[in-house]
Amino acid sequence: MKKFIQDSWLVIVSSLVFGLLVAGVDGALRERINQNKLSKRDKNMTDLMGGNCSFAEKTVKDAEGKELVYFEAQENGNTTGYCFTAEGAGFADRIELIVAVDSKFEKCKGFAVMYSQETPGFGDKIVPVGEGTFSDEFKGSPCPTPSKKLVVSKVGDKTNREDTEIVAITGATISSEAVTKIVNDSILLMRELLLQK
Amino acid sequence: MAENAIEKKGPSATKSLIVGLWEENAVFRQLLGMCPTLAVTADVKSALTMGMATTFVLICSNVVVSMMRKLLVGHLRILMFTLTIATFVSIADLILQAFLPEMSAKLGPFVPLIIVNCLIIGRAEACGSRNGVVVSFMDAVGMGLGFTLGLCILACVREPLADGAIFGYVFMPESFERWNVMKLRRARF
Repeated sequence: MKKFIQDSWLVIVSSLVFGLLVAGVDGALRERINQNKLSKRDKNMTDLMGGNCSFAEKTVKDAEGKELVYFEAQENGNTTGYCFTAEGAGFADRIELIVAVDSKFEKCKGFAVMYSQETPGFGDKIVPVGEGTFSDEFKGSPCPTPSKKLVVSKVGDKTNREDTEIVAITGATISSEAVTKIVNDSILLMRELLLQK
Repeated sequence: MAENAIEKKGPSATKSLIVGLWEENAVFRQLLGMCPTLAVTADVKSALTMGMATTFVLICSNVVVSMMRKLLVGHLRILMFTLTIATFVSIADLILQAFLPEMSAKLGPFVPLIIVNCLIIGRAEACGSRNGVVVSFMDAVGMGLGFTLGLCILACVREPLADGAIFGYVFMPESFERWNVMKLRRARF
């Protein structure tokens, strides 16, 4: 016992001191880190829904009783759409998105990437926003239904918003399909939960 | 005899600082820390952030290991090094998340992976555990800046070819065909 304490007291004491140090820094910075995440989320939602919207945070329970958070976009007292976070597997790591739809779940208003580690130069083209980008293809597309989901094709007309076809990023078909699947699954789930409310 | 006596004193603080910059540069001479070298040198901002984060961890861990070097027990010293390094990597990660959130998201798991950067544990063993605080501090500064320099030099080659830019500022003409392959990790080779 004495030898054990002689050998290991430094490890035990250091663990306590280092643990307190990390906890202290975490405590000091946690508020700022959380604020950064919220600012990013709010900016993405405002960009997707338009500048004059305000957002009300609400929850809904899924079939298993799990609470899902969503945001109701309101303009002049009217509900203009919904935003919700969605997550799924990408090519390199998980992909986390904010997905936006109109209030009747008829048109998709697009998505914004909250987290991804897709391949630089290829899969990371899911991130940029603006005209001609991959994310732009989702803006104004019809919302997926169980019988007609958004599908990825390798060639097609990127400007056509009436069909459910999404043209894949060249060299990043898996990332394109992953994003489209996340958008499909999340909209179908939220449509079922919110429209039946 | 006189030479041996001088040799036992170990390197001077100034020499420790200078050798890390080039003579024993971690990236080009010792081939240490290849994981971040391969992963985050596609653009200069990422390379610089990773280099500075590694330098911060290197300095803190080398100084702390040096302060407790007389208390270290032989077979537990690697455990103590890892514990010390992990602490400062966690702090560096939190600082990046708080003050450079976009860069933290971009570097992703490569910040926590500084823990397994063999440059840091190597300096703790070779310098921190054998020298005083001042020499260990200067050694860490030299090695850290040398590592940062190595990453930035590689990034200065890759970013212009990949994006026609440096530090995010595009300077190549539109007609310049971007080399997407330079963004991939295999381009480091």
